[in-house]
Amino acid sequence: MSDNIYEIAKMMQNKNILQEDLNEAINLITGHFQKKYTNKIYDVLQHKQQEFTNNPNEHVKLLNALKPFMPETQRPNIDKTINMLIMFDTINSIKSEINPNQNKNISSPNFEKRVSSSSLNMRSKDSAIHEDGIYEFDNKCLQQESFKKKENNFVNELFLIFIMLCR
Amino acid sequence: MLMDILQVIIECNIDTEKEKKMSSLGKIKYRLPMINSYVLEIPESALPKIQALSNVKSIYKTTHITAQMHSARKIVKASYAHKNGFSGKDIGIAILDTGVGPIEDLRFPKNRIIAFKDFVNNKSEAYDDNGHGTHVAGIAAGNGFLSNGKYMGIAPEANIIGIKVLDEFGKGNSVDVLAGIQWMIDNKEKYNIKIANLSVGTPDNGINDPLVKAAEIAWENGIVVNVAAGNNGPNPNTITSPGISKKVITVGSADDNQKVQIWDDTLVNFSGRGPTSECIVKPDLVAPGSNIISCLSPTPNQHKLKNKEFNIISQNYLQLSGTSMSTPIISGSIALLIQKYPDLKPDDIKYMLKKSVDNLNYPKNQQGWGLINIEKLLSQEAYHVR
Repeated sequence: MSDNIYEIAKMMQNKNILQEDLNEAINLITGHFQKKYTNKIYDVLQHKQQEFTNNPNEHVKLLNALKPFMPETQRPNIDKTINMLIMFDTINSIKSEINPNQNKNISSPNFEKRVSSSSLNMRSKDSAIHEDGIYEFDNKCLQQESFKKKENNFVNELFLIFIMLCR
Repeated sequence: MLMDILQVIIECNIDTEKEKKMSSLGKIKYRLPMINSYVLEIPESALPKIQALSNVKSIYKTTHITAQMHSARKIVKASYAHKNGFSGKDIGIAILDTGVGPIEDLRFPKNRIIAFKDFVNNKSEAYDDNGHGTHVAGIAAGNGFLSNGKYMGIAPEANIIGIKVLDEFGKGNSVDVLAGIQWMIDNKEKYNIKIANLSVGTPDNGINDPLVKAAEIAWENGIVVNVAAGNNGPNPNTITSPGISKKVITVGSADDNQKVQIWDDTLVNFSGRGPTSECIVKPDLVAPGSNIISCLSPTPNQHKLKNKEFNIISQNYLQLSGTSMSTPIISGSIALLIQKYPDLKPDDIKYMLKKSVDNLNYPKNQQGWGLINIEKLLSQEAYHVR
């Protein structure tokens, strides 16, 4: 028993062995996150990307049409541009699925109900009158929230681009 | 082994089939059709089974409510109302609070405590074992009977409907406030309830808080809901719930720059400030909230009396501070307005309040539109915004 403990202690002092252990631990963690998250995200991205490749937007169609007429040395650049456009479409599509409300205008609802002309005039003059109540928005707060949302969206986009490029 | 019993609010459609299943798991304490919810008392172990029931949209745990006591004793040009014959006569103001004591200022010459409902101790006769609710009621509708009019409230002929949802310590559960609001809606025609005064608050739980929803339903049922902004100021985003609702009237304190005693704390700059998490400016307006003198309940919290936490004035009145005291000033003002223009809807009234203030030049999220001016309020023509 004491010999075994001695062997173990000696092993722990060996930097190479420790390095191997650390690498193995990191690989395990990376593997776990890859399996649980990034592989799945990548599969979704791949699927979406394939959809946009099979059903390209107008810009991609135009570039594909132009490609045969371009010098051969320029065609790889066209391909790169097409891939980038498809990537942007893919990311925008994912974005709109994550934030379905991001384009809603919360500060100026449309008044669709029929109203008397006096109340309609009042509403058009006073920003406190809303369809769902009488209140004021704090514009500074709205701007900050809008900026935060944009920031979050930007981070999400960067993350998705990172995933797509890492494969 | 003792089981922990929880009170939870279950949001789901009201139906008998579901009630049978819920009854097998616990006890249905309240039905709240106004917000499609039940209040259940269940052992904690039954919570997963409730969650597994079909069509359960949300489950909320009950939150604790504290009364917000402030004293503020300035009548904001209320004398204009009295000179022009406005007194809030026959307009019902529901006071959801610690109760309402049978004080002379509300009972003589005519008993204006026309209804009382107790969700804490189930008593039938009007009482207040804390004192806060009576003080609030006195600000809104006291006639100063015991002070020869010196400590008269804003609408001295309005009727009071006492709904006790807080205990003798001024604390309670949100479920009792919800039940109080449900009862108020169910009885609004019977007692001509036009105004609800909620000088109560709970930490901001977001706009999906059942308290917020209930307050908004009451509003949509034609009851003007006035809620205290809370005493957690002066930082931003300190408005308490249901004062965070964009619909209701949230009232802050105009004069919180003085050091005052509120419950066990000495506070300054206490009035809650907005904006809310929805970026709504709050409070909507302000009224005096520091050192207000109003009626003393015959049976106030004896513990507090012994500790002299109440500043008793002339035996029958006491002095308190907080946004709790600002709120009934607005409630009373609205009673005066409704007496003059009975056809106004809640949104109309809120808009007219916007037009009836004095700018204190404080930041918007401190003063809202400004300080209530009753003379301006009653001098203007009726506006109908819808």
